[in-house]
Amino acid sequence: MPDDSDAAVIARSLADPELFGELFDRHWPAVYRYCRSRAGTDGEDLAAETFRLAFDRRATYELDRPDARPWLLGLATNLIRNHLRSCSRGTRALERLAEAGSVDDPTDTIIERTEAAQLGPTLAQALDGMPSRDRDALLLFAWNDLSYEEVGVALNVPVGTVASRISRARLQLRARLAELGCRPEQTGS
Amino acid sequence: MVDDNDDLRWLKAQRPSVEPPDAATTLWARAAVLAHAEQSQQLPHLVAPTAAESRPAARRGLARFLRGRRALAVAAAAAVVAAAGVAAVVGIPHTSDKGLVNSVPTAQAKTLLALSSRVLAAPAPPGDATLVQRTTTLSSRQSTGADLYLDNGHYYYAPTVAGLHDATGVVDYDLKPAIEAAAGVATADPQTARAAFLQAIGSTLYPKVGLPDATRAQQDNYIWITAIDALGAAYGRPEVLAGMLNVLATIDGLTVAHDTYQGRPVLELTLTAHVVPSSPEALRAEAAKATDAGIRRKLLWAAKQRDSHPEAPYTDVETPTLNDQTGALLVYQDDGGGPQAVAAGEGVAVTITYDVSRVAAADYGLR
Repeated sequence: MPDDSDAAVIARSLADPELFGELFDRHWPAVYRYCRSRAGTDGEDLAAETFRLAFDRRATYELDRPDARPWLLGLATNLIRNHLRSCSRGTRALERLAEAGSVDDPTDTIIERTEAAQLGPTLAQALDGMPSRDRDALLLFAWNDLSYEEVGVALNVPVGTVASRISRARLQLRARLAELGCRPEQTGS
Repeated sequence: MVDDNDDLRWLKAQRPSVEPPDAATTLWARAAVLAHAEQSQQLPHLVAPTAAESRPAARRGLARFLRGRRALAVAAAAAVVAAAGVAAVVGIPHTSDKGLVNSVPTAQAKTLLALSSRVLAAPAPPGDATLVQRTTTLSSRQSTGADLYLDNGHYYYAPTVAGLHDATGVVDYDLKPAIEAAAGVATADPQTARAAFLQAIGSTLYPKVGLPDATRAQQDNYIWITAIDALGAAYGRPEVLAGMLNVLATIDGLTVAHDTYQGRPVLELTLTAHVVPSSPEALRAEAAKATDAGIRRKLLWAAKQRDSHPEAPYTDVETPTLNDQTGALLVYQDDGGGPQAVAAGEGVAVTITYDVSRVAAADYGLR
């Protein structure tokens, strides 16, 4: 384990907690950008909360992973998901879906209003109907340049599960884009 | 042509555009994490991370704020002020030594303005970059850093000068707006220089503060922290350094003393800040008035911190030392919170020694 790796910093921070500031300095911009991308201005607080949570959980960090970015983005993803769900709870549409018993957890396949507002109408429509676990895997992969292995670390699932989630998500995305009349090669919003 | 990855490219292109975090937000978030660390561990006192002392100058301003437990309170308070634009909690005392009295420079200010004139009149040393070699001593720890500021705005950092040859990742330094603003006021009268400088850094470095309309003490504080970070980079660029000194001359309560350092005549600038942390009640009152949800959360967070960690007013003394002829930054000292309010062992003093010079970026293979 190189002395300057994230894992080494985390290990040292167990005895010397203020060293955790070094991990913050390294990854704050990336975590901030990811949280803001998915949750708008609320993402600022979620990014800060990610590091607070990371500090509390640093003893469980697997030290054979030198780069902590996937782990931090995974913590951020969970916070974002919980935040978006809490924002949407109680809406009439969700209640109706729940009463109809169409899905176990209606928030699982619905782009919540908060997220939709942040993502913009085109992207929100393209991702709507995609289970959140698949959406999370896809966005971690596409927006953060994580490998399948790193997405697995972030979401705490095996790499095979990541592959199937991303594959399923991409099939759904392509189909949705076709329905919406969007050509994938059109990169403008 | 459509290929198998067009959906991923489309998705990537759809990612909402996000500006990088500004200094105030970063400061607030870092302070929140370290405050949490302190509470969780019940540390007797909090010292900045070792790496902080040698990190790039772009972050030095933050590192200075995060030296110790007392400074942590300043960081949180300053971030809240920066975000919310509430009443200042970091105050610089108004004394008879005001930089300007009815627009007339005091003796303190005149000394700085004279140095500004000397710098402007002297020929600029050759080179197209300023090399700043730093040695930071914090408690018993010592670390080094080398910053290379190119005149074109590019910035490189390495822990040692030798490491600059391998530096990668061209970025513009975050103080660039301050550098440019200072260069624009090299020959302006102090009041005009101050106003223009505040306008420039207010719209670029601290957009959330509302600097032009802030109290004079707040303005002075932001001028100070910006100028101190930029003084090293300004060496060898007469207009920049002269402009920076013109603006510093307007700070209330700044004292300037002639002294010697390693046998050379120097000017010692000293600023004593009286820090009065806001009470939890005041912060909650501000939160109730805040219309921005993010700012409201920050204020409530700060109030909660103060509930469990009440902060008494304290003083903090910072002393940069400049070469009396060239204006080169030689030493920066901070008393770590001062003896007045700091229990034994709680404050952490820091001393940074500088070796600044003009160089050719090409000598380092950089451009």
